[in-house]
Amino acid sequence: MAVPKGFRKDIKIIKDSVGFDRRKEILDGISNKGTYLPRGVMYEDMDKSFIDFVENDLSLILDGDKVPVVFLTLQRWSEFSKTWQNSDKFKDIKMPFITIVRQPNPQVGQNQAGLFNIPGRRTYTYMKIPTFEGGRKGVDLYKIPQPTSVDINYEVRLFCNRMRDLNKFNVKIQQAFNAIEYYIRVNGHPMPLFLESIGDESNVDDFENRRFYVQPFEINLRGYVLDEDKFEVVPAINRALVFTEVEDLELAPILRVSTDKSEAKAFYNFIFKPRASNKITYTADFDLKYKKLTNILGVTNIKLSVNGVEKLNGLSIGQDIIISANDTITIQVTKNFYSEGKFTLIGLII
Amino acid sequence: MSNKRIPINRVNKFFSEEDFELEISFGREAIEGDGNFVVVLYRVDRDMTSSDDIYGEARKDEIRFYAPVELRVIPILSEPENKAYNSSSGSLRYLQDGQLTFGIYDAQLNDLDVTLNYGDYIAYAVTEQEIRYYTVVNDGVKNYDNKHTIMGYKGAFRTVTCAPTDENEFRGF
Repeated sequence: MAVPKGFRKDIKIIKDSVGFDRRKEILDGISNKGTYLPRGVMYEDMDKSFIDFVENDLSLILDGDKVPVVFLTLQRWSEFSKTWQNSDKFKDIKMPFITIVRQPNPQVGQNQAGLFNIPGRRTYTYMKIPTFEGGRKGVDLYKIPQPTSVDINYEVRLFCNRMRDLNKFNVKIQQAFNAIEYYIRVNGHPMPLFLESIGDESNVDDFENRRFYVQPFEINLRGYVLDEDKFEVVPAINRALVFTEVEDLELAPILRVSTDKSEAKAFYNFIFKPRASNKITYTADFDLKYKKLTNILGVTNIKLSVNGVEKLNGLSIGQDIIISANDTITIQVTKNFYSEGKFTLIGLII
Repeated sequence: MSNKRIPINRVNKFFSEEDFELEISFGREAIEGDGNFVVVLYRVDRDMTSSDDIYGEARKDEIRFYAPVELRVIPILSEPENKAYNSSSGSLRYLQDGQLTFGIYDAQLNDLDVTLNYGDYIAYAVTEQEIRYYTVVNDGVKNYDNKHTIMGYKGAFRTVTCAPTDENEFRGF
């Protein structure tokens, strides 16, 4: 059925991220479905991802059947275990098929453009994870070593009987490597593939024998090894949580008594420190007459009671206040709680 | 086509056309009567077979052929070869059928009114259940060499060479 002109069937609903957001997305992909650490990468992981790449991204369907992909190693018995579904009664694989052979000698890698690495295999902080254990708040450092770059060469071969099948696969390869490199994700780590060469090993030289096409593609994976055994979790700062309870206690006012026997005078110096109580009670030592209030500072009113009877309410003594020894004197001042107040009460000893 | 008929007078002192025919009838009796090794010839119908416009290749099960013909021959089956598809790494081994070479009298083909062509298919029943398929790589039509004549008189016998073929290319019925 014809599609109307202008009809779009590839509308992008999700906007692709670019720049920093894209880099963050790639980083998230590395640690996706994992712990706080990235997933490790070993040769097997790269092989598996490469097989997936050939099986899925380069998937070849001929005559309605998917062309099988076989990863070949050395052990003879395993060949049949991989090909039995596509083999004839003599256990020979049937055409067409694709084989993958990994060269067994991975080379020193160029993933980091062949630059020098920091020696010593030290580890670097990948992530800081807050912890709270036993009342202690802290941070654990998740550290990983610098990945080791490796280059792995794969040989992908298509075996088939027809030129048109050959074309189909060749075009798929050419399109995949249209931008020179093609990225596969090995445990979330993006790694580039480079198409090194396309050859021809078709079995056509022996004219009087069986003939078929063989097209080898040499593909170079520039990957890296990230060994999970070398990952470290190191505790960093720990901070103890200390609770201090502060009690707002009142200070006792200070009373200093001095006498001048020659003049038969007694001096009662009252000092109310900041946050001190504004009330003081004491017992008189002498029979005396309070005559005067002096040196008043920071106090706005003074109440003086003798045995519970108020004798003064103000800042000056009008009439002498007679006190007998052992009387209970109570003085209450009015002042700011957080500032100092003081005054001197002068009495005449009788 | 030329209508020239040139009399063959070679060795005519002691060998004639009748002797030639007699020799052939002896040979055919030995091969067809005594040996009775049968191969089946599938002649490709080049008109009915649908093929690719550019490459002229037929896809699986697209080869059309005329009614199969049984030929009685002297077959020579070469030993299967142990090979590897990935020759560089020596992996993916397979056992490749050896060539099928058979001898047949032209007279039999004439009697059956069939021609053997390059690319035709040959089936050979190796057991009651298993048939192996081959494709003709040399139809031996130029059989006037000494080996294929009778006393150098005329070519009577031809040697046909066939290479094993893939099921993906042709699988008979």
